[in-house]
Amino acid sequence: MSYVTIGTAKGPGEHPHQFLFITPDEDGSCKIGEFVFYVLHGVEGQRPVLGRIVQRAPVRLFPDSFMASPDVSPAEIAAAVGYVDEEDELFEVTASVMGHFDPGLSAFVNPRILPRSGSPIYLAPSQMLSEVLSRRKVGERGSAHVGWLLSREPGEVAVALDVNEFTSTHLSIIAGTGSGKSYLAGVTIEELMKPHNKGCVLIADPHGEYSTLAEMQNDDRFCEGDYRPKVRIFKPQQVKVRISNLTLDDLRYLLPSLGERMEWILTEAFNRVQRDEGSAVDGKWTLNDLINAVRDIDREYAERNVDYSSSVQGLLWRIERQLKNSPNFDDNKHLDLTELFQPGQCTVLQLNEIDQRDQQVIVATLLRRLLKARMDTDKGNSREGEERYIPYPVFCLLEEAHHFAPASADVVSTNILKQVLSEGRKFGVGIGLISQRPGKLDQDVLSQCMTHFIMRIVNPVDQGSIASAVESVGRDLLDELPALSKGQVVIAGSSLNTPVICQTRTRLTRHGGTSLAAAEEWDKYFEQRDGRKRDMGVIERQTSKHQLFRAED
Amino acid sequence: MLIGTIVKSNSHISYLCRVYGKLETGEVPEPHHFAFGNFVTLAPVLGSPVRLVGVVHDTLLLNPDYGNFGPRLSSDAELAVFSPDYLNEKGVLVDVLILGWTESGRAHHAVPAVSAQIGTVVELMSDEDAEDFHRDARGNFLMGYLPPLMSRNDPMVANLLLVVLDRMAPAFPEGRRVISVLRNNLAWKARVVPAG
Repeated sequence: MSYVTIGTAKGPGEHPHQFLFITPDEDGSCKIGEFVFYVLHGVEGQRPVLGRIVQRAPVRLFPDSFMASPDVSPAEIAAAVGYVDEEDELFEVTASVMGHFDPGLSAFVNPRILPRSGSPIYLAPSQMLSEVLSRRKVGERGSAHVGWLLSREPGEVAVALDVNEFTSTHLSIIAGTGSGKSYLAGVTIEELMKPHNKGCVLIADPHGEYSTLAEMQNDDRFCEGDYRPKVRIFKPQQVKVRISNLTLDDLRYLLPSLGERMEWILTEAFNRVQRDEGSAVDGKWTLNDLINAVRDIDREYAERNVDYSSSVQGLLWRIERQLKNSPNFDDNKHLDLTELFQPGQCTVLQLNEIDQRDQQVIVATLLRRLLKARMDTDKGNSREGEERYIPYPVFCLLEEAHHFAPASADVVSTNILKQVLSEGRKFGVGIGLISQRPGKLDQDVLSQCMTHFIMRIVNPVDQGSIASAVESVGRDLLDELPALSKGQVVIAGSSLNTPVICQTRTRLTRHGGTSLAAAEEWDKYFEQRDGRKRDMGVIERQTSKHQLFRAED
Repeated sequence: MLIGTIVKSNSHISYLCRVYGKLETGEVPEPHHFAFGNFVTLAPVLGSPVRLVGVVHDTLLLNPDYGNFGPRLSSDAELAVFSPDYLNEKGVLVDVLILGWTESGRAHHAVPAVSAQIGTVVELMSDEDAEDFHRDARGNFLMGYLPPLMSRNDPMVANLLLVVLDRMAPAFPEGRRVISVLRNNLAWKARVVPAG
């Protein structure tokens, strides 16, 4: 097979795994992130050793004095002094060695031998890249085709992730606002719901922007045979957490500014309702049981001439204000796990309009119940028909993940999230975290994700957080982050054989997270207001005419 | 206008030309004929279409009497009658830098393969020929000898090139902007940089 030679090896680069080559790069194929290879001759024959271009610098530069006048191009000056060769550009390109692909290991093996000076450097053919970059082929079971290799034409080299990897060892989507992270998340969900995957997915959607995924149900591209994906959207008022599922920590977190005595009374009351049979139909405790337990404690101490009434009143006021009138905390109803999680079903929990603390408790409760159910199912402690019986892996996508595991605050959802991230792999609970502020996301949480989608990030604090938490992305790719455009993403981690820069594919369903066109909305307001004024004018004129006639009458 | 003959070389492209005296030619060159920056042409091989093109880059005055404070037996007026050759030993040498050559009407700004010979006649170039030498195949202004001359690290060169550019500018109105950039860069190197 003949390959396209694009340059000549010059020598070793700055780091031991880098080499330099010189190229005229007439067609501009030596982009940063592009893949090249050299041939290594060894005892096992010839092997192509792939490398990624990490830097390019022009070798020939016009002198500054040639650029003295903006009206005169340096090339004109060069021609005037006798340089008329049009192939004047020459580049020194730095490439980082990835290695030769070992199909047995399904990984790149670095030979630790750089190309000899003067040996040819080839552009890696698209077919070679298609075979070695992705772990899966597009359309095969367990593949998620999220886009195309950025350095090649769209359609040339597909980037297909290994679904089994990122749904078990977790995923993070990190991007600045407006760089397309929700769009990419939508593409990933679409891939999970396609017939070759039939995923079991839940999305915690604090902005209510994933409802358009419901279009998958009526789209033939997602259907095959009897299979048709199901999308269940739970509106904010439908998201229910049963009071008896709250832990003492949840209650403490939900009830703000508890004094020491209030905390003690709450703990005592909580222990009593946990111990005793509750007044719910199935014997679980209710909010009234908790309130009654608090009042019992007050009474008992009053009989002993100990006055806790002010603390009790304060605690009761907080319980009633926070829980009694909340549409999301209920004595009997809650989201049934078997309704939320089913293969071939994408469940969207719309958490907009819900207070952020409540959102954190809702997510924490859900994750706790889910992990318990998966553990019980795995250990045979739950049976078919029970709510705690979930005999298949599930994948949960959390938007605005820094709300659920912030770096600088202690919130109720952080610990359970960390537990799921560390233990979830064994029990088939995968987590996808989406955040626009990795600097505000707990570093332990971020580093537990083994697959990373990183889009345009300009903030240096956020870049630093990624560099320290994400091991699989090299410094060279991190340097690319501020230069990425909308929809362009660095994908790294265990779902691919090597990090790549990818252009997100077009979504099959509509994107629900578009920004508002503010100027058009403002203009619409004035149009509507003018319309109302005109209508009012007609009414006023008619009224005055009518009044005139009445006056004449 | 013949200026003189080559009497010595300093290198393959640098020659000394002795300017004709009044006993050697009917038309004695005046100082403005061999002035600094004048273009000259030489035919190293008789009958060949190749003519070397050079520029007067330096001038040296020769005077054997310099430093001779001994007794004089004859005055200059008497010497002119009795020993005119003695007076002819005073002379003018000009340093000619070869910039390229012309062949069949085409200018080449590079180091020529052939060198001038001892005795090769040096002839003043007309203004039109000098301008043609600075015109490339497309008619644009060309000064291909600028980079090699600048790399000689000779303080005279920048001034020499400035003189040439000033002479050529009126002949190349379409190359005015390019000449202006080159001129400004040279002026900076010739006048500002050494003063700093």
